[in-house]
Amino acid sequence: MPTKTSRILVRVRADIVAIFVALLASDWGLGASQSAAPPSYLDSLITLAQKRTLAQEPGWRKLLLIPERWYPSDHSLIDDQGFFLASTGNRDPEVEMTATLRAFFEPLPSNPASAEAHAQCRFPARLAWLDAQLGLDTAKMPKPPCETLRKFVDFLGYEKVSLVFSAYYANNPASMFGHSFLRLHRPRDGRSDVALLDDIVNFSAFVADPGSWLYPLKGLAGSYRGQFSLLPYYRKIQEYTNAESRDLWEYELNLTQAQVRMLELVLWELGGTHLDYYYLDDNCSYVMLALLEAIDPSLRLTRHFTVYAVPADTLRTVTKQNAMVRSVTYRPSTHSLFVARYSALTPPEQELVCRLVGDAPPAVEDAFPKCDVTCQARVMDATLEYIDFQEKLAGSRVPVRYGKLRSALLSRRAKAGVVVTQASVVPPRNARPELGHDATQWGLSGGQEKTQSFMDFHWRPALHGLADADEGYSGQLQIAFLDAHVRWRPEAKRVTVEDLELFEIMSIPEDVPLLPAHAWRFHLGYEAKATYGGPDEENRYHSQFGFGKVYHAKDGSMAMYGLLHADLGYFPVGKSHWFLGPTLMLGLKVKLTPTWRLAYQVQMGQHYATAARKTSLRHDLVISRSWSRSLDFRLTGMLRQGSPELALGFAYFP
Amino acid sequence: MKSLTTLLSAFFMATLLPLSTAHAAEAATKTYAEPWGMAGCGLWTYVIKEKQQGPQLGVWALRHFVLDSQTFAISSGTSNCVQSRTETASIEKKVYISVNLASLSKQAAQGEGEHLEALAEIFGCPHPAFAHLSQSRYDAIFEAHDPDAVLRNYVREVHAHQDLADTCARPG
Repeated sequence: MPTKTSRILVRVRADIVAIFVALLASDWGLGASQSAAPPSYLDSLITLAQKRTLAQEPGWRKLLLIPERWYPSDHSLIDDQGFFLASTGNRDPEVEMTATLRAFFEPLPSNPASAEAHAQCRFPARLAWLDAQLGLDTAKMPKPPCETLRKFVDFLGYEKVSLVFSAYYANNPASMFGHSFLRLHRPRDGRSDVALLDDIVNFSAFVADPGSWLYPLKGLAGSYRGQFSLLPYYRKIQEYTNAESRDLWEYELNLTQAQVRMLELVLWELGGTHLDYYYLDDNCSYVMLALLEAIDPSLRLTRHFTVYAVPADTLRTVTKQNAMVRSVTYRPSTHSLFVARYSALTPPEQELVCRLVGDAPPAVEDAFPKCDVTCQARVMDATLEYIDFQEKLAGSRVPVRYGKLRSALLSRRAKAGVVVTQASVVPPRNARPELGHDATQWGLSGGQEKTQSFMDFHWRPALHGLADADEGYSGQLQIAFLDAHVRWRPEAKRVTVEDLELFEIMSIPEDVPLLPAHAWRFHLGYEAKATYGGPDEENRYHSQFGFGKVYHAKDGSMAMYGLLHADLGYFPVGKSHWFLGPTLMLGLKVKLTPTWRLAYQVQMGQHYATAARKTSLRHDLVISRSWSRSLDFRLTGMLRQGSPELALGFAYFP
Repeated sequence: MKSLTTLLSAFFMATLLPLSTAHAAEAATKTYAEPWGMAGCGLWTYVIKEKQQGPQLGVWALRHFVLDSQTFAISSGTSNCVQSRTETASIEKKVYISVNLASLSKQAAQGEGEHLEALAEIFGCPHPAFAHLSQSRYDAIFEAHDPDAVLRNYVREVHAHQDLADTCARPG
């Protein structure tokens, strides 16, 4: 009879055999448990996402800031690898989606502080989007508290969003392309609108060396990091309207509350990341478009920009979207405020302002003869605006030249006890930047030279010429980059570059009382057929820098200007040589009717090369007829050293 | 696309080089460290750590901000986002007055204006009464062009005002 011990041993041996067989079976895929085990919930989500190709959906791609490019690309704008959960996530949205889903299911660390870094806390926008697509069962997912995220979202609670564009200022070329950011409106709870306490989100390059000569090169080459900032609106107002004297235009966007909430989550995700800042394309305004697309994937904004993005063009892309803009608000600069206040004064009051800021000002207590307290308040308000504009007073800056005068005026102004309504500044309707033509211009014309016909092709990537319609632009600035004219002469079977303006900027600001302005111009380019002398002087590279004066008609319909330049150049053909000399430019631009314009310019130069002195004379005439905002018909004439030509064609702003 | 952009950049480099010492282009603004998230909790006065705990925790070290030649540092020893505007009101007053002092002094003397309204809002005071106080007590409040002094004077004047002392939500 088996003993108790032997019976136990037999049982153990049988168990061991059974376990071993089960292990073997599982290795060979034969075990009942292997074939019967259901996929995890995570696996089912990944499978479903792949089946629905969610990674190719615009909603997902735009959350990764993958813009719509003119060529197929899955590359994100974001250069920070830390933004992506997969090593190839910055260029593979599907891999990034799978990595994101897996990260959402990572178990929570025991350390609560570390739990704040859980993927669900880091990427709430992705979580929200995936939930909407897949219907996530949160009961099957880890639940990190995400306390900091909750505080962030609860505290923000934005109500509306506006796109804000800072315009150009005639005598500030640094402002020539504009800038844009988003204003995030706080709820008012029935109170009056205190816009200054709203937040703004801004994308800009963080520059450690703005004074370096390499600064513009680095900005063009993407050597600076671009990051998002969330700032109080008043901070930007001090910078733009006060320090840089630029008007601001606010375009309230037609977004739903859900989209505004999504924006908060997207900002949270993007807050710590960075993009390489490229001045030409991945700049402030282009990234704002990508941000708007992230919260409304149905928007197709980035696709309009292939090589470069001019901020004003990005603004127009938004305003052209159907019902995207609810309202437009204008915020005047200190310059505009001064002009408004001064213009509202009577001539005797204007004289008082001039005396106060003149070289030998009277004491403030003696400055207002025959001027009652209301008159004094008006005069002081205009004077204070003048001082603040001249001193570019912003922040806590102390005025340099007018410190004592400002203090004395403020004290007297307060004692007057008069509360005068803020100066009403109504901008001209055609000043609204969204009404302007696009920055790029294409042109085609056919014409006749002295002995042969030609066809001209014109391309100007940016920005605005005096012959163009002024709507949406400053009629006091001409800016051109890479402005090229290429000519085909069919009889001669020749194609030549007639003109290439590498860069031109001309400022012809309007004189404002107490703010006399000088016209100035810088130009760098190439001109063929200069014909200032013999064959050696047909083509020239040259640089011009000049100053002068301008007269504007009061109704803005006409401007006359004259500038004297120092003209330095090089004739590369034949006996190549340098030249130097003065060039006088006189110009006239007239708005004949709302759709007809005329622009005329004559340049007279004396050029000195070695011992020889040559003269040059060139007349240019453009008569334009606007067919629409994007199309002009043009008659152009030129008379160069007695050689005439005339052409008829069109200019198109795509 | 980046290579094409860089190629175009080469053209612009040649043309913009003479202007390299000109006013900073719009592409980049100033050299202030304005880290993300400083207004993530509504205000930008948090100093936490030099490094974030995670990319989106968004609580960076705030070192300074620069407005042209004016530089001033604002810091707070708090270690996390605060719960309400009431708790941060004193910081917000200081920041606001510092950033807007020139505009504020002008509008206080004028007895009205957007910057004055915003300060009233920060104090939690009714706008008309706050504006009237600012104008009628201008010399006492703006005795010096110094943000700290102006803030101290405003707090004193609000507390001393018969109505505002009771009605302002955040008199300081």
